[in-house]
Amino acid sequence: MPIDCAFACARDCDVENQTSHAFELLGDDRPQFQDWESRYSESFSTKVISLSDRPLWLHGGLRALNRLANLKNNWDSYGAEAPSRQAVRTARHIVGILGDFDVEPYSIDPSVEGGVCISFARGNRYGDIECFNTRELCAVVSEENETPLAWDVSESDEGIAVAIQRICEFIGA
Amino acid sequence: MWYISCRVCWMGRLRPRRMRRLSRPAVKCFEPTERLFLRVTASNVKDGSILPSGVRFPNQSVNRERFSKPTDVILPDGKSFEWLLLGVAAFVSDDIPRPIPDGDGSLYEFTVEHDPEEANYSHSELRAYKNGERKNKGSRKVEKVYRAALAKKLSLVVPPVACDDSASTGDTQYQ
Repeated sequence: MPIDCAFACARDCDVENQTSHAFELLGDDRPQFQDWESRYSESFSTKVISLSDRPLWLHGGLRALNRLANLKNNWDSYGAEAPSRQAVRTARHIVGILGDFDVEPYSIDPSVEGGVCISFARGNRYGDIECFNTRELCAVVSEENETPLAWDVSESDEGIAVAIQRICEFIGA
Repeated sequence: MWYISCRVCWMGRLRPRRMRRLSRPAVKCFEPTERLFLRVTASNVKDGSILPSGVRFPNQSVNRERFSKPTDVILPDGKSFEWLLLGVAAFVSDDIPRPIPDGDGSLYEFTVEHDPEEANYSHSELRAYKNGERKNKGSRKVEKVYRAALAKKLSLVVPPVACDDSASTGDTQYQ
C-alpha cells in the first residue's frame, strides 16, 4: 500500500528518480520495495500510471510519517519515546487505507505515549487512531462537553477500516 | 521569546529566584481556578489547539500558577536550551478529568499533587489512583479517554516555534 503511494507521488519523474524518491518516502521499507520491484518490474510504468489518481494529500501524509521516523527519544522534553519503526509502519498502512477511501486526516503527529497518532476533526468533534510502540492500536472519539469514548482496534485491514468508518460517521465526514 | 533568551543569557543564571525551593514545604491545597502549566511541542499543536497525542497519562509534570509564571515552565534546566522553542499550555486544576471506569468495574481517579524540586518549587504532577493505589500505567482505553478529555481543556498560552520544512515544500501541513 505505501509503495503504491510513493510511486503515485513520483509519477512525473523518470524511473531512476522514481526509485530514489520512493525510497525517500518509504524510509525503512526498502527491502519490501525491492521485493515489489523484482516481482512487478515488467509492469512498472503501467503501475505508476494507474496510480495517478491517488489523493494529493497522501504525499504530505507520507512525508510527515518519514519525519516522525527520524525523531529522537525525549523529543517532547518530558522523556517521550520516539515512534518505533513498527508504529510508523502501521501508521503508513493506515494512511494507505485512508488513501483508498480518500479520507484526509486532520493531523499526523507523534504521541507522547510513544507511537503515532492519526487524527480527524470536524467542528467540535474529534477522533483519532493511535499506533503505539507496543503494537497496540486504540481509537477514540470525543465531542465538546461529552465524555470521550475509546476502543481497541484490530490490526487487520478490516479492523482498521471499521475504526475509520466509525470515526468518520462520528465526525460527520 | 526574546525576553526569555535575554534573561537566561544576560543574568548568567538559568532560573529566577522565585523558582528555587529555598526549604519551602509542599502546599497540598490547589484552588479550583489555579492554572497549571506544561510545555507543548509544535508537533502536537494544530490550529491553536493541543491534540490529545500531546497529553501524557498519567504523571504529567506541570508548574502551578501560585508559585510561578507561565513561561517558567520553558526556562532551561541547565541540560537543554531547546525548551525555549517549546510552547506553554494551561488548564485550571478543576479541569482535571473526572474519574473514569475501567473494564473491570474499578475506577481511575485523578489528582494534581504539589511535588517541589530544588530548582523548581512550583513543580507538580498529575497522578492516577485506582482503588486508592497510585498507578503509573492504566488500560489503553482509560488512557485514551483521559487524554482526550484533558486535551479539550488545554489552552495555548505561548505558541511553540515550528521547526519543520512542510511549509517550504508546499506539502499539506501535517505535523
